[in-house]
Formats: sequence, C-alpha cells, structure tokens
Amino acid sequence: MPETVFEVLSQAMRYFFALLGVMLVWRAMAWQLAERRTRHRRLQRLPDAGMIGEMVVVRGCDDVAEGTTFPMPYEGTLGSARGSDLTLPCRGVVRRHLDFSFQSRCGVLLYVSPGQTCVLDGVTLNARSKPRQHPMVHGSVLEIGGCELRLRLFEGLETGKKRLSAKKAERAPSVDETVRYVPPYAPPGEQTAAAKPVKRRQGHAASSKE
Amino acid sequence: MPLHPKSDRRPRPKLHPPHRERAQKRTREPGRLMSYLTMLFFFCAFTLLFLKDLAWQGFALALLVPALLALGINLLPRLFPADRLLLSLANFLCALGVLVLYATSPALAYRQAAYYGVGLVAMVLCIYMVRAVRSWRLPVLLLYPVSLGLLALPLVIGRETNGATNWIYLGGLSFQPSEMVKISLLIIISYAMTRRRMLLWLTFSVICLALLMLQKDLGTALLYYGVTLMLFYASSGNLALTGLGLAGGAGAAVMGYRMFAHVKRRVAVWLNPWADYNSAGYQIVQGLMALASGGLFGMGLGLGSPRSIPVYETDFIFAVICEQFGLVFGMSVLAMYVALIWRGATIAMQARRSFHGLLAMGATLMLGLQTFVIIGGVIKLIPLTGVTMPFVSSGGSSLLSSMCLIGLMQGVDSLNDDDLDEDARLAGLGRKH
Repeated sequence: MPETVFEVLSQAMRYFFALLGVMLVWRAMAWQLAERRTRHRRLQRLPDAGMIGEMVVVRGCDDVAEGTTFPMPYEGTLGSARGSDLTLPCRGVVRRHLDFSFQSRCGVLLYVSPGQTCVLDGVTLNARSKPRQHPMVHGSVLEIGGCELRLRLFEGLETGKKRLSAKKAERAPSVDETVRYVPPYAPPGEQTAAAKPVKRRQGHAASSKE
Repeated sequence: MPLHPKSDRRPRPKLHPPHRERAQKRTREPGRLMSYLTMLFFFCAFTLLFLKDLAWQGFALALLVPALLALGINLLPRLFPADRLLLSLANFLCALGVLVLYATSPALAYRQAAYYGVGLVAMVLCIYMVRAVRSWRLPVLLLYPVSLGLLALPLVIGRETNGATNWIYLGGLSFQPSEMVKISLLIIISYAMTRRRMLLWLTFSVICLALLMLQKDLGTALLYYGVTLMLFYASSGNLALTGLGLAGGAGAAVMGYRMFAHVKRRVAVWLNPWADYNSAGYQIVQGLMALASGGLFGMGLGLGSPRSIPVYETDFIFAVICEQFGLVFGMSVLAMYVALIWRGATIAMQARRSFHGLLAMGATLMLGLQTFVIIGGVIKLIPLTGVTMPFVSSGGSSLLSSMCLIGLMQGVDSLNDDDLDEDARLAGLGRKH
C-alpha cells in the first residue's frame, strides 16, 4: 500500500481505537460492578456466610453475660481489643489472647499468644502447645480469663476426632470417622443441648421463596 | 376434560425454545461485549499493520490474536477455575504488548507471543498450586533457600545490562531471577505473617533487598520493599511500625543518594533532564517528546518514531503506546490496570483465610506498584527505575512472573467461590449456578 494512503488510514483509525479503548474500560468497570452486585445479593441470602458457628458464654464475667453468643468466623483473633474477631472484655484476657483457624475434618486450631494461657476441655494450652494435637471441636469448652465459652458448630461442618495426634491430623480422616464431641463433664441437662449443632440461618430472600 | 379447546381459560406458560434461552443468557452476560470489543480492536489493529507492508505475518496475527483471545477469555474459564474479568484484562494487556512490539520491531513480537503462551500455562499451574497446597510449611521451607540462591546467582555468573547485574545467561537463554523470586517472596511473607513468624519474613526481605542493592537493581528493590511494608500493614494494622519502616526506607534512600554517584546522577536527570538532553537525559527527553507528539489521539498506529527512544520495548513502552494511540487510549490502558487492581483487592478482601488474603493482596500490590513505578518514571513523576510495565513490556521473565501473579489471584478467587458454594450448600440453598 502507498505510504500516504496508509498514513491517512492510520490517522483515521486512531479515533476508532480511542473509542474502543474507552468502551473497553467502561465494560470492565460495569462488569466489576455487576459482579459485586451479584455477590452482594448472594450474600444477602446467606447471612452466616464466612462463619463456622458460634461461641456461647457458659460462665460470664461483669461485661459479658451468660448465654451471650459470638459468631465464629473461619479464622481470626480472640482478645479484649475491640478490633478482635471475638471481643471478650474480661479480666485476664489480653488484647490479642489467641488466634484461631478452622481446618476442615480437624477442628478449630488455637494459637495462643506468647505469655498467655487458656484451658481447652481441661487441658492447659500455651504458646508452646501444638495446635493440631488439641483441636477445638463441636461442644468443646474454652476457659479464658474468667470466662467459659462453648463452641457450637454449624450443622454439616466436619471435624475430626478429639485430640488427634500430629501424624493422624496430617492424614485427614474420612467422613465416616468424623464425630461430634460431647464433653464428658458437661452437666446432664446441657449435654444434649451442647451436642446439638446449630442450624444456619437463611436470608429473607430464601425464606420468602419458601 | 373440556369439550372445546377454547373452554380451557388457564393461561398457558410461555415456553421458550432452549436455544433462545441460551441466547438470552449470553446477552445478559456482562463479559461477552468486552470480549467482542477486544477481538475487534486487535483484528482491526493487526489488519492495519498488515496493510502497511502486506507481510503475511501481519495477516496471520490479525486472525490468530483475536482467535487466541476468544479462546483465552471464553474457553479457559470453562476448563479451569479462572476469573473471567481478570483473564480478560490480562489478555488484553498481553495482546497490546504483542501489537505495539509488532508495530515497532516484529521479531520481538513473535518472541513475546511465544512467552505469552508459556505465561498462560504458568498461570494455570499457579491456580492449581494455590488450590491444591493445603499446608504451605514445606513449600516455604524449600522456597526460602532456593529463592535466595537464585537471587544471589547473578552476582556470581551474571552479566551487567543497563547498569544492573541482574541477568543470567545460560546457553541461548537469558532470564532475570528477581522476577521469579517475586512469587516466592509473596508466598513466604504471606505464610510467615499469617503464622506471626516475624523473624522469617524479616530476614528473607532484608537478605533479598541486600542482594538487589548489590546488583544495583534499584527498581526491583523498591518493589520488594514497598510490597513487604504494605503487606505488613495489611496483616498487622500496626501504623506505628509501618511508619517506622517507611521512615527507615526514606533514610536509606537519602543515604543511597549521598553514597552512590549513579543514584545522584539519576535524581539530577529526573529533576532536569533538559540540562543534559544529549547524554544522560536523552531517554527521558525522548519519552516526553513521544508523549507530547502523540497528543490526545496519537500519531496513528505504525507511524511516529518510537525507535528513537532508548529501551523503548521495555521501560518506555508506555511512551510508545501514547505516541501511537494517544493520551486518551493511554489513560484507558491505565484505567485497565486500575480495574485489575480493584479486582485483585476485592478478591483479597473476600478471602476467608488470612494467608490467601495476603497472597492475593501481595500479588495485587506487586502489579500495582510496578505499574506506578514505571509509568511514574516515564511521565517524570518519580525518578526512573528499570522495571517493566506488567504484561505489556517485552521480556519473558517479566511476562511470566506477571502471569503467575494473576494465577495466584485467580487461585484465591476460585477458593472464595468454593467457600461461598459450600456456605450455600450448608444453608440448604444449593449451588447458585
């Protein structure tokens, strides 16, 4: 093609390319917003999304009454700081007392901060304790500061057997092996209540459908 | 049973044939128009370049690149757990790199297209790595010495290129280890910060920075330092220590300015490139002139004189884009990076596990900071440092590491989707799609 013709064509096309560039950006932003809306709508139907259950206060302190429930995320921190995922403003609880993380087919693993302690089902844990050997399962009782909290997991979540050894914890147990732990020292009246898993709530959109 | 068909007054349900329903679903899908626009853009651009010299390669690319884009944007998310928006943006930027390189030096464009294919494979591997690895302890223990060894290698067998000793030449192959170590840096830092092992990430970052300073690779050192500091803030929220780290970095920069002559010269060139426009300031001056001559709509694809800018194919490719396509298109490219970073940050915020959140945030920050550093350098906002423009600049190592970063983000995104599906299953709603 002659050079002059190409120049004219190329200079004419530059407006088209600029327009396409702007349109592409507009579509990308619109796409992002649309995805955001879709996800938001979906989350509205799942108010418990991102949670694995709740911690029920069995024995409280001045600021935390008995029977109070704290929603439990998959992972987070427990402490007296307001920014904690589980804020427990009790005496004996430091700002970041422990970190926890849920591992499917194992349970909630506790990573106690250096210098702090807590008691899980009668076993004292500190920063040196191996979290995989003492996983928190459904019905486990955690004593921290002056408080006592019981974990209630949502129905359908799989946790492993109580106190798996490190080797066993690496090999995930099969679904048949998974059990729901009932603490043996729980009062007889509470034993069944503690063993009963929590049902997930459904959002308004889902309930209106039903 | 009614005697007459008209006696049945119940409204009949409207039945659409399946193909019509599928067509309606297609038009509702937000990404479809974007993939059509992307294909149209590259088909027109490569056809225009084909008309310039009537070389068959141009025509082949005009057909191949849109076909590959269609494949990458529409087919890959069906085969692998990939986010279509991220994939569309990354594919557009990669194809733009091939286009601009083809317009300036075709040999580089063919090589870049080959690296792009390898990058797609690396991206898929990264997606599966994030999904498959449950415990990162062993990979981190392996990556730690391997990464440091790899980063130290240019000091032993490397060759100096453009003032920095950060390249390794083995046989006919050459690569930049610091690009590969970016991925392991993110994995190690995310793991150590999640497990609160300060010593692990601090020693790794400090050794990496020291090795990069010894290689005089200041741009990459700035990236490593910035991403580590921002990830520390994201994981701890400790403003005081982050401020202290920032102040330490500023202090080190001032010390570097006073101690090293080449840093002093670079800052002087940044402050006034016109004072020495024939030697030290030549590159920046040519870049600024390219930006100015492009104007709002550019000089036209295949026109102008981009080859007059030194290292136009890597560091100054943004100036070439602005010269040929104009400032409006250049701003659109910037907005695409913004969309990519926005998407990455959204993925990181939605992650359920802090390791995945930090990993996605780190990948996003790495891409964002790299884009800011190089474009800021080209437009004379900050002193110029030798980093590449992600996805667009010529170079296999850079493209590969950028695609791996996208792979990490996509892996985390697919895990987020799995978690949400699991929530829906547990709530008794079932899968949504």
